[in-house]
Amino acid sequence: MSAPTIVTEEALLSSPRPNGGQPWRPWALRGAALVLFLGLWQAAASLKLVDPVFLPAPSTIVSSFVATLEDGAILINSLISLRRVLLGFAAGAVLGVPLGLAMGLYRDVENFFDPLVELLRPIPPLAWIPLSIIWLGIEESPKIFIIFLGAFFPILLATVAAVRNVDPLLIRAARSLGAGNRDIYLRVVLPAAVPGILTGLRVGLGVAWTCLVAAELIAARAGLGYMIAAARRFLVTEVVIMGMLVIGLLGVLMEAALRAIEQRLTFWVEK
Amino acid sequence: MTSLPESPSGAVPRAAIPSATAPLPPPKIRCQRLAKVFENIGRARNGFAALSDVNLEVREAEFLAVVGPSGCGKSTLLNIIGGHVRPTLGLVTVDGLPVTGPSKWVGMVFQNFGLFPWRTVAGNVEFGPQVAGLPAAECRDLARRYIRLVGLERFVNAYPKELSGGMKQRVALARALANDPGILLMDEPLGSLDAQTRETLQDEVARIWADTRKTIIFVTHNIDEAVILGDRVAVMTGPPGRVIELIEVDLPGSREPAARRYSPRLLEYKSHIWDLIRRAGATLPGAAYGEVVYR
Ligand SMILES: Nc1ncnc2c1ncn2[C@@H]1O[C@H](COP(=O)(O)OP(=O)(O)O)[C@@H](O)[C@H]1O
Ligand SMILES: Nc1ncnc2c1ncn2[C@@H]1O[C@H](COP(=O)(O)OP(=O)(O)O)[C@@H](O)[C@H]1O
Ligand SMILES: [Mg+2]
Ligand SMILES: [Mg+2]
Repeated sequence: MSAPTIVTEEALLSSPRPNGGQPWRPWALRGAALVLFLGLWQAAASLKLVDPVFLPAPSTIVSSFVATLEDGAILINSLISLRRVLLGFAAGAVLGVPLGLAMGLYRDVENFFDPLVELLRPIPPLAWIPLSIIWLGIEESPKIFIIFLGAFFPILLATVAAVRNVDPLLIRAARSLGAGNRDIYLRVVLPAAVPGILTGLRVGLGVAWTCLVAAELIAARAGLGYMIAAARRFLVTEVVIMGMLVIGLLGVLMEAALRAIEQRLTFWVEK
Repeated sequence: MTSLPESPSGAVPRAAIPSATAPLPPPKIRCQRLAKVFENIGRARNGFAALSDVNLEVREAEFLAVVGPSGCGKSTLLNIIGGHVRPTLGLVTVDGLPVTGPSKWVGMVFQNFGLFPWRTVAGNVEFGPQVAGLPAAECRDLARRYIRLVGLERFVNAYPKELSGGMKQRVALARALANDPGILLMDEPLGSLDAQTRETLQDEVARIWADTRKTIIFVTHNIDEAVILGDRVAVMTGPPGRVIELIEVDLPGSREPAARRYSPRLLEYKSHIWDLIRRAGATLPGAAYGEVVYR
């Protein structure tokens, strides 16, 4: 004969709590990974296991960061790069979202632009560099143009898809309530497409950052990409790595900002 | 001359003659030989017949209940009447005019609600008045009134994702009513309610109908509900869907659902409708698949 199972109050209460009642646990694990990684790296560098030209110690990178912070170089380079990314991305959004809306709403517009889009879309933005130099010279505009190309297509395609995927039942419901075409576009299709458009903007922003370094190889005299390229020429490896990390950090921050906007605008989405 | 100004020919207007043979008023809604074939859906190569030869007349201010097993084409019929789906054959007229598309005079409560998820309960109910161009304050008042009617005052500012299925259905009902359509098409509007809420809402729908004299087509798969609510019950089978019988519900006493629910004759109607559906199911060859073969 087996003993009856005793369900304690404690057992009942503890199971459904997220993270087993240890809300710090995910953060502890994230922190642990970073500390471990940096610790091993620092140890390897301090013990001179690797030539510092190949892999400088984290402490070296931090001090080079502090140095560039003090002379203002990192700030200026970051702002210049940020400006390029933002302008290219904004151009991609300003052109991509309305064109995507028009293509999603009207078959004629879609049929008109579709062959062009299909042809140009697979060309990597970097392949445009020579042409953009011929067309636009070597100042700011070719760099912004390359970033724009990177951001534009994901935004365009996501917007077309978002419009296409609007639940036809919502359009029926609106029509049975007396909505005309204008109401359908502005009060149904547009709000329903917002989550899809925001996803496209987030992807577009990611691609914009990806294009930055390549764009700044076009005869740049400033910017994070230029800073990295210049540091490589003089084998200042810690500045190369520091520049990469700053790009990563800026990308994460902008992504977080967009995500916060997304959350505010799409809280109503089910599931 | 002393001829009546409104009848220059001198004839007395027909409506003025009280007579045993006075024509019935023209039907509010008339469906003539409706058929619907869904093409290219892969299931049947030649298309799938969802409706075949549906003829139906609904009188002004009538409450017509449509009952039938699921998949028999009730939603398809309602969507055609509402102008949301084009029939393959046949014609629907409302007030004698052919239906060419959806309109706000023909309100619809969809089986899957179709609530706007980015709008609150109030926002959903306000949609019709808003697109009609009413001032904001009036829209808000209308919304409040109909939200109270369906008992959701506590959820005015809730979003659809925060509501249970039954609550969503009530929002959809309030939203359709707030537009005050002359015709209200309801597709299993009480389908996902629990028994108590369902009875309350049945009473509510009957009361709204009695108060507003709307012409209502109420689709349900619940035979009791059809008999309790309807002036007439259209019994459908399929696919392909057809109306196999139209039954006048004549229960002694009150027209109120509360009274009808406990009427002994309810059971007679119920068993009659059951027989109809069962017999039709047994005798329609290949009815379960509704395949159309073109020769
Ligand atoms: N858009 C569609 N495409 C293909 N088949 C459909 C479509 N809508 C409905 N049907 C089919 O038509 C039949 C009737 O559907 P419906 O009108 O929804 O039935 P009910 O509302 O009575 O359950 C079903 O067998 C269904 O599979
Ligand atoms: N995901 C949710 N977020 C917020 N509130 C919810 C959610 N789901 C349900 N509720 C609320 O909880 C209550 C009960 O909902 P539910 O369990 O779905 O009711 P029922 O199934 O009895 O109709 C409702 O008042 C509803 O507003
Ligand atoms: Mg249905
Ligand atoms: Mg529920």
